Amino acid sequence: MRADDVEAVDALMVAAFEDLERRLEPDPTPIERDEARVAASRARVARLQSAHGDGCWVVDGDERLAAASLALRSEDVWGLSLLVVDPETQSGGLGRAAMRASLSSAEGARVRLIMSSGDHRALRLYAATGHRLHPALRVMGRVDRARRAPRRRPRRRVEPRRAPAGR
Amino acid sequence: MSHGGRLLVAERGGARGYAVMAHNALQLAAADDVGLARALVWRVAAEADPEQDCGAAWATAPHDWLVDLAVALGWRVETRGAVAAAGFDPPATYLPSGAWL
Repeated sequence: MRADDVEAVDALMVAAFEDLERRLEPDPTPIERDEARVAASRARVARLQSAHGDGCWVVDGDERLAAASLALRSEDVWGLSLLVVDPETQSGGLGRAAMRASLSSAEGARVRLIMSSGDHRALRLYAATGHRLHPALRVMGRVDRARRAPRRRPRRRVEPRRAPAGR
Repeated sequence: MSHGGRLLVAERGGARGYAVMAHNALQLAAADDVGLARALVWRVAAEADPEQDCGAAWATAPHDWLVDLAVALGWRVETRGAVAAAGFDPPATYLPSGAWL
């Protein structure tokens, strides 16, 4: 990956994440892309490319980038920050090729860590490259400052009934 | 940090913890013990804009304390992807950043 690929990597990331959102979320929400977020995203990609060039790889497509894999290395720790493939060319082995190139910077690392989406191809790739998958949860909601710890109510006693035989 | 993130620091006795808050949510937390990690999430919730969702991600089995906290706050708990790790299991006192900040 070169420094002048930064904007193309950012654009590919948006296309891939929007596609992922549509495929995996029952109620897809558009990715927030205000000016500050675009600047932060590009700065992050640029920082990775300049400081961790060994871990940052792209695959050229016909008209735009086909895949990008950005990894960082800090002493004994290796982390994959981004792996995206153009939704038009997914399932063709490009993501695997890009990630394998990034893994070259993991040589000798004691720890490798990837926060994966629920895309089954990504999960399979990470498992196949020696990572153990830990299913993850996200917690979110608004903070209700008026909310108090729930008062304990006396529980209604519920007697389970045996299901009628023969059903 | 250079793009609006805030570093939060917690100390108790000799133990320390820190967290990064951005976009009204916890982005990263690491602490010497679970009590400090929990305190950091409470702090993020306390400082969040109540008109927008707050939250945290990448909780795995050892982070049951975060699920308890989310339930206490009335937040949604959703499955979302996986943490893929080699060479270690994610510890209870560390919530990683999805994109490594």
